Formats: sequence, C-alpha cells, structure tokens
Amino acid sequence: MRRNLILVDDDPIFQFGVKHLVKGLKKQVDLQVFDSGEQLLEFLSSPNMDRTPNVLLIDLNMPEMSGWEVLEHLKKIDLGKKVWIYVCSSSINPTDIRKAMEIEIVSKYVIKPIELTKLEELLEAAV
Amino acid sequence: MYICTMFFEQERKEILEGVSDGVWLLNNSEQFLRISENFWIHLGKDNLAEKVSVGDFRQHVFEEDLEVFNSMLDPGADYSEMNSEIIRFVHDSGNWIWFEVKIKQLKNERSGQRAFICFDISASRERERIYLEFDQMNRTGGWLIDMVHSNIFWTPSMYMVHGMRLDEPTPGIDEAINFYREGDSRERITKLFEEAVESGIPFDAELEFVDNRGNEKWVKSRGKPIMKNGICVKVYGTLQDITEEKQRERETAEESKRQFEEIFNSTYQFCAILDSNGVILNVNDQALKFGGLQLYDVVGQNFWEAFWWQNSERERNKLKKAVRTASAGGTVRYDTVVWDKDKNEVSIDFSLKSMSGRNESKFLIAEGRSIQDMVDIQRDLETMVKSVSRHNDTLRNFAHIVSHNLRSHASNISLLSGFLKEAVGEPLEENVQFMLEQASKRLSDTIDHVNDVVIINTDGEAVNERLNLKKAADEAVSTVSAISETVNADISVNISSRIEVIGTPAYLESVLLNLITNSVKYRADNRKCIIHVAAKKKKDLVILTVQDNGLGIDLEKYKDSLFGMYKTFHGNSDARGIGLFITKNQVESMGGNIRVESQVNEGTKFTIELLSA
Repeated sequence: MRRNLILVDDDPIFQFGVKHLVKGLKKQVDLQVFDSGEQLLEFLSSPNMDRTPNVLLIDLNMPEMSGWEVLEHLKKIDLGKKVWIYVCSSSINPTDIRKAMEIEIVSKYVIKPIELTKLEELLEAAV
Repeated sequence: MYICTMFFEQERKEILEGVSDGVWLLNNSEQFLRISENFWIHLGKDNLAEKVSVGDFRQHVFEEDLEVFNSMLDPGADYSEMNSEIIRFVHDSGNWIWFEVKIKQLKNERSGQRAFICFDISASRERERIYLEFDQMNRTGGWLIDMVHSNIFWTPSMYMVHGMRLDEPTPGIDEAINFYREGDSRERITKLFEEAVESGIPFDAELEFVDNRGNEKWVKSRGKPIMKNGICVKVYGTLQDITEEKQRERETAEESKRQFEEIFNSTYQFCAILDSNGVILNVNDQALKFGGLQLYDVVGQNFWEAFWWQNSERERNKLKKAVRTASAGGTVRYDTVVWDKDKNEVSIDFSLKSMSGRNESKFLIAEGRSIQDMVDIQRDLETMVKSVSRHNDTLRNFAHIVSHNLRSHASNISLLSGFLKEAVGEPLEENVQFMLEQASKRLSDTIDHVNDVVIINTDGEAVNERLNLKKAADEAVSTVSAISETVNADISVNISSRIEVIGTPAYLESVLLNLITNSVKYRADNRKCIIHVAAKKKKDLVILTVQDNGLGIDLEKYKDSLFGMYKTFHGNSDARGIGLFITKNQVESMGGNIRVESQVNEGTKFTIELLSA
C-alpha cells in the first residue's frame, strides 16, 4: 500500500533532508512538500485533491501561520479517513511538547533532526 | 452679828454655787480668795483648797486674759453694778475653759469684799470658734438682710472676704454691690439681687470682686430670698472667696492648653485648625516647617489658598468640597498630593473633620501624614515588578531562541552531516555542502543576535547622554537613503531641533534605523511608500512616532508576540524577526517604552516615549 506523506515546513534544509530520506526508504512513499500552512490548507480544500494523505509532518515555527494555527484549522476539517499527524520541531521545550500532545489530533511530537529509521517508524506506525 | 453674817454668807454661797459653775470671794485687804469647790472641779483640779492667795490663783488664768483678770481684782475698780467679763482658765488637761464671770461689789459686807460668780461657757464658745474657723477655712462669709427693717447682718468672715476689719461699719446693699468688679460682674450681681428681691429667685454665681484693700478676687455669691405674701422680707446668703480655686482652675486650663500646644506642635502629623468656612486659625509646627512657612503667612487665609495646595487646581477644588462636607458634620479622608517647601509633590494621607467649640460654634481639624515613603516603596515595587516581568519576557524569548533557532540550525547541521557520512564512496549531492555552510552561517548569525540582546540587557548602566533627536532621525534617514530611493519612498522628519532626549547614541540610532527600515521593507506594493517621523515634548517625556502606510500588522493575532524574538509577520525573505525585539530592549534600557498601532493594509505607527533632556 502506497503511503502519502505531506511535509509542512518553511525551512529549505529540512525540506531537502526529508526528500533525501524518502528516497532511501525501502517502501515507496509519495511525498508532497508545502512551505506554509496556508498552502497545505489550500491543497486540502481543493476539489481536485486526488488523495487524502496518510501522514502529516508539521513544523511549529513558521512565519505568518504558525504550526499551532495550522493544527487549529485541521481540527475543524473532516479529512474522511484517519490521518496521522506528527508535530515536527527542533524545540525541546517541555511546554511546547506538552501543548502539542494535548491536541487530540496530534499523534506524536517528533524532535528534529529526523533520521531514516525514525521516519520509517513513523510511517510504519501510521497503518 | 458675826455668826449671823457667817450664816448668811454660808447660805448665800451655797445658793450661788448651786446656780453657777463656781464662786470666788475676794478679801481684798488680806489678798486672798475663797474658791468654791465646784470651780476647782470645772478646772479638773483635785487641789480643793478653799483659800488661795491671789498670786497662786493667778497661775490658773490663761496668760492672754491676765490683764482682764487683774482689772477684775483691782480694788479701785467700780463694780457697784453687776458687770461681767469673759476669761479663760487653763484646765488640768491643758485646754481652756471659758468662763463668763459676773462681778459684784458686796456693799453691805466688810469693805473690799467682792464676789465673782462664774459660768462655764466653753461649749458655746467652742462651737462659735469652730464655726468661725470653718468660715475662715472655707473663706465663706454669711449675710442676712432684713428688707423690712433695712438691717444688715454680716458674719465675721464676711469682713475677711471683703478685706475689712471687724470694727469697720457694715456696708449697705449698694456699697456691698460695689465690691463686685465694674462691668459684667457688677451688672450680673445687681440683676441677680433684683430678681431675688422682686421675684423670689435664688441665685448662685461666680463673679469677679475687688476687696477693700484692692485685691482682685473671685467669689461665689449665693443668695436666697424669703418671701411673705409675695413680698421679700429677708434675703440671706453666703459669699465664698474662690480665688484660689479659680487660680487652680486657670492653671489647670493653662496646663491643658500648654499640653495641647505641646502635642499639637510635636506630633509628626500635620495639623491645622480651621473655622467652619475653611479659614485657617492655627497650624502646627510640623506643617509650617514642611511648607517652609510662618504662622502669620497662613493664618486668616482660606485653607485651599495656602501654599501647600498650590500644586494642583483639581486638589484645591477637592479640598473646597471637603471643607463643605466637614462643616456639615461629615468626615473626609483621602490620599492627596501637596507641595513641600521646595515645591516637591509629596503624597499625604489627609483627613478633615469638624469639632464642636464653645457656644455651639464649630471648627474643623485638618490632619495630614506623609505617606511618601509608602508611595515610593510602592513605586519601587511596581518598577521592580515591571523589570522582573521584562526580564522574564527576555528569558522566555531566550528559551524560544534556544529551542527553535539555535537548535533548528544545529539539527539541520546534524541532518546534513549524516547524509555526508552515508554518502561516503557514492557521488555527493552538490548542494549538501552549500546547505551546510548556510546552516552554520545562520547558527552563527543567531548567536550574534543573542549576544546583542545579552549586551543590551546586561549593560543596564549604559552611558546616557543628551541627544538631539532631529539630528539622529536625519542621520537614520540618510543611512537608509540607498534603499529608500530605490523604491522611491517619501520619508519626512518633523522634529523641532530643540528637542533633546536622554539616551545611548548607538541605541537611538539602531531604534530609528530599524523602524524606518521596517517601514520601507514592509511597504505596500500598490502605493507609494510614505513614512513620517515626528516628535513632540510632553512634560518630562519626548513622544517619538514612526508612521507608515505599508502592509500593517494583524495586531489581533500578533499583539502578544510582536516584540518577541524571531517573530516575523510577513513571508518576506529577509525578515529576520529579531529587529523589534532588539528595538524594544534598547528603548527600555534608555528608560523609555514602545507601543504599536496598526491596521492591516493601511499602515503601522510605532510610538516611543523617551526621557526628555
């Protein structure tokens, strides 16, 4: 079963990193990358969206719309099937971690950087 | 004849002894006395000698009365009529015995025989003496006026109170009234006496009096009329010398006054006494000293027109109102600010209340207590709380930088270096190296920014100088001219060249540059960029504004994080998000503050308050 992975992060280095890691995965994964929350929300609400994603990786620290705001919006959207949402941030601040885990739709808080094995784990969990 | 005489003599003696308290018979030619037994008993003597020499008998007489005694026995004295004398003998106990002695020359007997019949009047004499002593002790005289016969009777003490000798004639009513001090006292006693006589009203008054020797006295004069068929027949009363009591009363009053003044002037409170209209009657030393005033500067002035209240029209009006409230019986208490002698504003806890004076008059007591120390402490506390919460904000921002910025660059480096390791032996992707350089550069930049902020926040005692604001603003405009001219921005500076602020030159420059640069950077593309830099003085502050017609900031959303570190509001590529955080820290380290007003797509206005030089 092919998996759809969406990354929302403004940092080009991290975007590059995830793209690179996906290439190295044993299973085939479709990756879509958005620079901002606005782009993600626009994509999700577009009528010609062919497939809903299985896994969402969302960064917290972004200009304009922060990761927190993206999550607020996602809470209100019915995606039709179970979507695994991971918060992905470099912050090790316990306040951020607690706050993220209190959001019902968030499955896990992932601390950057992210390695191949970790990405595999996240995708495996999302079944 | 002799026997007959003897018998008769014996009989007569017994009769006389029976009705009297003692009898002596003087045989003048032989200079001895025959003394009856009951006389000796009255003197408490057991020496019952019937016949004693004149010389021996004289020893029993009280020495002050010896002259009278001698004259009684004088053979030349004529006692053909029954005469009497008062004479004191000394009782065995040492007390006096008063005798009224009736003396009779016995004509029919042998020449030189004289009889003395004694009556003990000690009891009544003692009573009289005690009464007199009481009168003298109380310095009280008694008087009685028989209105029908126009007789006036005075007890001896009356003479004493009047400073008169007992043998002086008793004054008549009008004369007696003239002893009262001319004026109020004399008018009152006249009226009281008239009312007593005409209407039967008793009187009791304390009045001033001048005695016969010119001594000024206070007397308590009481009188009671006796009426018969509506007509006054007698008036009697007492006159008491109360000069000493009055003196003591006055001393007590003076002592109370002295104590009051002592308290009034030594208390740490400010005190003033006002009449019911708010006119100053008295002010204590503390309040005078506080205002650098003399009593004559303020007495008679309306309280609110006095120096202390000249700092504020509003406080003066409040005080006027307080005077009205207190005059109506209310108590007013509030914290207010007054001037001290150097026109410094000092906070005081102020109260005003009314007190009843004599004759139902009212006066107001104003009290004040400096609470400047408390106010200062509170202000220090507030400043400290502000400073602590500012530091707290800074700390939170640092935590954010460390978590989100330093760590994100570090994690990127770690991610990329991982790829390099994997790729050993395989062809390297070209841009990994470039990205590594970029990540490490950003890490280094972030560390520089953190360093800038740390310097501002720890260099609390940065050099503060007088800075010309217009000059600083003009320089900032000229520094950004390269960019602003490219985008054709219109920047105007409207600041008086006289305005000077207290600040650190580098910070002021940085604040102006950052705000103007932001305005250029976040301009709206669809209109000409217009930026106004202006300033005006307001009391000890200078209000600097930087206003643009750019993109604006959604304050609903970013109000709390606007001045936080690494917050960017626009997707602008070179928005580094540290500028406003540093600006805020720089402004605050110069003792100022910054706030923002903005409408999305209309513009932004930053307002900065700086200390005026």
